[in-house]
Amino acid sequence: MSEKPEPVIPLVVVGVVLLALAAISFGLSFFSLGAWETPIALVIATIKALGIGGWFMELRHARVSVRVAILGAISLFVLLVGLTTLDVYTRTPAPLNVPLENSPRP
Amino acid sequence: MYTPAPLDHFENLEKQWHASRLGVWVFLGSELLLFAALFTLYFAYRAHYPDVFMAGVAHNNKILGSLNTAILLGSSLLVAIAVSLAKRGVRGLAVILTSLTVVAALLFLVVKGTEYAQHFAEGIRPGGNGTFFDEHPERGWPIFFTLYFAMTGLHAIHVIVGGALLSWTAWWMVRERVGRGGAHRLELCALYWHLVDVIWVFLWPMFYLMGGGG
Repeated sequence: MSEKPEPVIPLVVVGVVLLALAAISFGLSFFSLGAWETPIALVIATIKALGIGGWFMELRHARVSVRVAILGAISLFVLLVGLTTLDVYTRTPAPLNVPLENSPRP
Repeated sequence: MYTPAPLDHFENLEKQWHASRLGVWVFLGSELLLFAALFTLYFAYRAHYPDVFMAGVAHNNKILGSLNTAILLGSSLLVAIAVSLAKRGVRGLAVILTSLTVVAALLFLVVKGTEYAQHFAEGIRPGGNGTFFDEHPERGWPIFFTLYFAMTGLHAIHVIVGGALLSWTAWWMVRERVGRGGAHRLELCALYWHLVDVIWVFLWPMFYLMGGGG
């Protein structure tokens, strides 16, 4: 992220890589990967997001203040999603059962 | 010809532009946290109703969802090149690429609308309403499809806003004969558009791909 223009060729290369990664995700979705399905899909999505952030959004050239702003938001995002999901996976009895099983279907 | 000038409270344009970039990034961070609540609900309920969520993903139209992924990734590339060209002062091509990004936004909405129409025809409506849920009484189905409509709907609103911003910027670049100095405004709109793309990059596997090979 600077006044200097990003060279066009690397942008095109990143764009092609992103589409190739999308094609890989699409292809893998036809196979039953069991417990690996979610991690693999999310890792590929994260790589794509890094490509978009790093090159298209020019975060590679960003100043420290910008990096702190976005890393702070991403950290809070990961904490919220990660800890809540972990709670549902590990708590016994499952925390979502109590109110839901006793209420009528919406 | 548009010539940018620093506002009174900035020493120079470079500082003003940094402040505006930082402001947009803080805003994008807040947008991320808005979606964080919905992502949290999705993964918590997926952990609780894994079979229903996988069946729900398999039920969605993978081809249309994937088409929208290709459209958004392509549009992000177009607007990134447009920013690069605008910074070089190549206004004409930058405006054309920005306009093509707007066309991509419209295409995305058409595909999304087609998908929603298919769901409505199947009796799937937000909030667990519709005949589909009479035939699928398991608890997780209304939750899955309510999250589907909430998350993709909120994302579609962002697509509309991003498309409107880019349309207005393209028009402004033509009207004011914007040169290199105006690239900054396009860059800020492009940042928003890229965030829309990043969010979809995660929504796509969550609602179309992680269906156990179905």
